[in-house]
Amino acid sequence: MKLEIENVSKTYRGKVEALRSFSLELGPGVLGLLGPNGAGKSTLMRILATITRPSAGRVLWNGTDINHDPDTLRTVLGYLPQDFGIYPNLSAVEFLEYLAAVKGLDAASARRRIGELLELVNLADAARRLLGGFSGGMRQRVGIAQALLNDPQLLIVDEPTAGLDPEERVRFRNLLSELAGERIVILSTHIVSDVEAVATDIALIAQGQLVVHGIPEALLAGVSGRVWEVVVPSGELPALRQDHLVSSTAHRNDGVHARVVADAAPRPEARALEPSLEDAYLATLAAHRHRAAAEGAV
Amino acid sequence: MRGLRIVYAIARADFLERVRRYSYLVTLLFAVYLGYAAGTGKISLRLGDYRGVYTSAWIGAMVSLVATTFLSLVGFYIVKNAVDRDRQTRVGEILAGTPLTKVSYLLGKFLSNFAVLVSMVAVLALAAVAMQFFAAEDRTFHAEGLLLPFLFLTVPAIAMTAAMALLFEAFRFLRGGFGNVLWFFLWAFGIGLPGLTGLPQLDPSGLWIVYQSMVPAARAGIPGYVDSFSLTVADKSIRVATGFHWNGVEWTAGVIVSRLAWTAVAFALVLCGAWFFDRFDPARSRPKSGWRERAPPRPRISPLFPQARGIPAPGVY
Repeated sequence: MKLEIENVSKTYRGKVEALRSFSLELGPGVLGLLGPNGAGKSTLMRILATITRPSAGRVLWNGTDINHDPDTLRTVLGYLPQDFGIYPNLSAVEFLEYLAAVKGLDAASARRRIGELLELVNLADAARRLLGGFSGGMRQRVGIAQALLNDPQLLIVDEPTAGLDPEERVRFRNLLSELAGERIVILSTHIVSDVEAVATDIALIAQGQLVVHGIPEALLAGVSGRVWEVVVPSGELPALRQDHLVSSTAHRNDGVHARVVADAAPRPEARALEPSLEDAYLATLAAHRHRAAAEGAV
Repeated sequence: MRGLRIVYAIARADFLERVRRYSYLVTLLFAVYLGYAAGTGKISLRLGDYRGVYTSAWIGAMVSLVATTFLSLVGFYIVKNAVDRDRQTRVGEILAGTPLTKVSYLLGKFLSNFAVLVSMVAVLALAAVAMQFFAAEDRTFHAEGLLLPFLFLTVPAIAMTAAMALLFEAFRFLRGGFGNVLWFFLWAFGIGLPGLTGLPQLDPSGLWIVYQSMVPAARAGIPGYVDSFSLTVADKSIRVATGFHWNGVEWTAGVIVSRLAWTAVAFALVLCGAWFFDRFDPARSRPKSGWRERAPPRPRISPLFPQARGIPAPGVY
């Protein structure tokens, strides 16, 4: 099972370039595709889901170019788009029956599969309720259920936790972890903690380009020994931000506790910290922007 | 067989989603009102200053023409959102990631459009039956005379409307307000087409079929009648032509084939729409906002681990 993305570019009308020579090779596991809003993640997801075609480059699914033969991938694809909506006046079962038919499942298989999936996403009790009355988290779970109807080998979920409350988000992450295994899961998000929780592999995308691709430990190694905690009065925080990359802050009684990513201790009293994925993500992104600015590309 | 199951699933889901909305109840109430307006003479089929006796044939022809005329216009605006709903909810993107063909998708949506309009026609047909009994001008009920005009006049006409609504959704530039305005003029043009061309075959509404059947009978049965034929919102007094008996349209094979041909045209329009349908590809449907390139691209993957120590210069982040 292999998904190869070879030099894929996408230019929309008006010369808006959303992806630039993006290349990646994936096998089974969970890929966390991280990037800021507008980085090109959703465009890449749509290309991989065969919704839109690349302007250049190609995507191979087990060696087959999906541009020429999209059904090869479509039959084994599960896709949950960003801001996924529903038909509010259908029940969960009716909605899933509809999509099961579209995905080619016969009636008996669809019934059995829908029952299993509603159990999996913990919605069996709400199976006959109209979707319009579902919470955001419940709708997302219906979304993931529909994506799994055909037992996909490639599962693409685009910003699945956006808009969910913390409890729903944790539940959704756990579900994604359970779904990994012998399939390729691509989790596209700008929320680092989602990726931290489930990804076996991370790709960072910015301004339509692949910035890094590797395992989380390797990304963390990039900022090892470079994360510090500094306590400053709140009035000095803007100056600290001006001089250093501050990945997070917390207001305490003794001042603002700031996490700073820097090659050397930013202040003599700075305390070294274990790096988090968020530190690594922000540092890598900042480095990319700095490099891009230096090259005059942005 | 599998293709039919897919088309049915799309039509069923779309139809259920629509008919469970409050707005659908409003559209049904609109149909009931049309029936009421016809029954109380607010809308009437006039032959000059006269109308026929409310026989099954007359009522069937009149109410079916009311249904044809109003639903072919207003029905377009009622059903022209089947694809847009999938675009807005992004269910369309899910569908686009399946092996679903454009033809199957649009046929399913067409059947849903059609079913919604047929349900309104059914309400009007029931109103027509009630109208004959309440008016009680002629107590002999002829089911064929009353219902066949709905089947052969109204149903093909609304099939055309259902298909045109879908066709307009398939074209990007016809999806919005311009398409809505254009439809009004197209509809008016379609109503007048046989009169303009002198070709009764070019009659999607079926109005001319009734005209060609009714007017000769009126010439023979109404003294002083001079070929006036109109379906109007009546505000003038109207007399009942008691001596005039019209037995309804003679549904010859030729007439039926001409109406079936319009149904076939409706299907052809759906297939035509499939040719232009963007299959929810945002690159084909709308420009995407985003950052713009200023310099030629130069892809670069950072050798981050562990060499990349590219901490930004102060103030960059």
